[in-house]
Amino acid sequence: MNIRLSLFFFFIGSLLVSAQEPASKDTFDITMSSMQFPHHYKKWGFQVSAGLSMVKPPKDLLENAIQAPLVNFHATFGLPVNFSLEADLLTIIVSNQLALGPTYSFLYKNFGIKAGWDIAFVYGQLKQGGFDNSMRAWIHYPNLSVGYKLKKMAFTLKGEMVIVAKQVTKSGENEVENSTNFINGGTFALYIEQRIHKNKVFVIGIKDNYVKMYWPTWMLFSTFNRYYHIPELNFSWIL
Amino acid sequence: MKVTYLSIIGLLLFLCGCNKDTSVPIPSQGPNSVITETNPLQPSSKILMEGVYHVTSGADMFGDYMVVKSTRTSLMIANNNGKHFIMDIGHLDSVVFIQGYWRDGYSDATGLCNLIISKSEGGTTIVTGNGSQKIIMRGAYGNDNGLPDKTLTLEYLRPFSDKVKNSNFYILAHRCGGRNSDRLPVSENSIAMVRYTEKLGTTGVECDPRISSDGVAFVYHDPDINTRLTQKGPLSGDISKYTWLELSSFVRLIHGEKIPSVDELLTYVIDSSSLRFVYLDMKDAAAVPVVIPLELKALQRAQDKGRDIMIVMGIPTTDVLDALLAYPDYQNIPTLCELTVDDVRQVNSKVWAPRWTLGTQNDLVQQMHNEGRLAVCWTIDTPSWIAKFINEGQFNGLLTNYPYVEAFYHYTEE
Repeated sequence: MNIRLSLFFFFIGSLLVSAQEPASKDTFDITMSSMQFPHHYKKWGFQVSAGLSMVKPPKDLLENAIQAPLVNFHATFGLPVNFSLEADLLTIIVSNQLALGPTYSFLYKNFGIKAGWDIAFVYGQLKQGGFDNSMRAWIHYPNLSVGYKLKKMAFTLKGEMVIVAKQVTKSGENEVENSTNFINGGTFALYIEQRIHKNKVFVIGIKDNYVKMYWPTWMLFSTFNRYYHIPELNFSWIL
Repeated sequence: MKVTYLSIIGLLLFLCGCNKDTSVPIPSQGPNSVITETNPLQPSSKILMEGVYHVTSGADMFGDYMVVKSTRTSLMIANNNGKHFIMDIGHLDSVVFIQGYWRDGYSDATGLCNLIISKSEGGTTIVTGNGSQKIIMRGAYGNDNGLPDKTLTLEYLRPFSDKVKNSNFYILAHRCGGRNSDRLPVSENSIAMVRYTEKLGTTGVECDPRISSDGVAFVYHDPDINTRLTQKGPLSGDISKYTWLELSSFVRLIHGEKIPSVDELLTYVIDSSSLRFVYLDMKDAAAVPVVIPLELKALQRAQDKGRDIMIVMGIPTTDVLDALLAYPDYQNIPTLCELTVDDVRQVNSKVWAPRWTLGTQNDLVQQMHNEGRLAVCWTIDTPSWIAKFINEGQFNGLLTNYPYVEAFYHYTEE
């Protein structure tokens, strides 16, 4: 635990030092290109990012299964009165989640706060052992973000609850699981957005999914009723 | 930018640091144990306690009914959704003391438990073998290592039905008794697991034979040496490229046990357990000609010792089937075939073992029975499906990672 904390503070500290390097004289403002940092999005403005998420599922779930990165697309659409609409698509082909939800942002000096509620539909399909296995789920993600910005860099902490409204998993004609309305856990993430080239911003995110059911691994048909820390490392470009 | 790169490296290290090893949540009675000061009960006395019990206190936690079943070394109490007790038992005069712990097999929930059967509530009957079978177990359970402080009362409801008593149903446990991911205190595919799984109500085991580079058959699930199954050591990669001496010298399973050879495992099962079924689920076709003589030797040993046990070589793939077909007199090798019923007939398997997702398939199971074969089903873990297969199916056994759930549904059959 101490090693992990040390690494964490080393990481935050080094980024702060990096951000304090002498600024150039351009007029770049990270809030104009940020996706995660809470700010007043341009009304009717549209922004998209694309990236990859690397996940390390626990050994309990994974055993011999093949690992693959999640492809991630994120979009924001500015609405009046500091509202925005956010959409998120995560896919590994056999497992996909589309989330959509409103957010409200509040910006004060270099600090921002954002509250939102995403509703996601998860669909997965995979042929295994001659069977058409599938999964459908509806998941709610009420979330809260707080951020701090420098000129070319922004830091955002985001927490969300994961509430599964409905989950049905099938193997062939057999309904292996049919669950409704349970609190699946929560996630906690740190996103660092940094201008890399011209006005293009690169996002690094580290996320801890503390959940019982991790939707990308539905095809493992886990029977465990316990929480797992599932770390996720995200890299994305704001297009 | 260099600092940013360092930050990314820091992030990656942080990410890797998030994965901690899983611990085994088995609580200990410690100095509060009284069992060591009691007298052991005779097996016949323990059998008197077997039956279906009504939970009159503690039902909110454990449900309305539980099954009590004596095992070779302890007493198992199980409910319908994975909560089970592993209890030691002894008596002082006519008072029976039952002490141990409970676990939820699907989560990490666990705790200590102490129960007593007083003289007037069945103690005398159990100790002397005389009197009515009106047994009431009173006591308490706790959480984790905390002292038991929540009331638990089990009242004897009925004995096992004649159908149960007269059946030869096999409660088959996966990987010698359970997977490492089930966080049991012993490693999957180990002799220690075979010893432990009997406490969970298991009556037969499945294990995973492979072969070393010098032709010794051993039991291990994955094709490689990895930290899911083993402690960190000097060997890694493809396990089949190592000799038996290297594997037995340098590899320790996740809880410190040695990898067992097939010969060691079968000898243990015959000599030191009461298990009635061994399912050698071949993981490598090259091991077939090595395992067959070991299987036949073990069956001879069992016969010599008067043990009624079925040992069958599993045929999970066409590779293994082809290897068997190349063996002389293959139709007289006791096998279990996971493929089609036609394949079962071709190799004259004693047991047909379809996967559970194909359904109960009662027509085909009945055909197998009519041909003098058994049928077991793999690997079924969800309580509702275990219940369905036991209540509506005609299988002779089910393979599971949760034998106590299977035990509940089997022993409560009317």
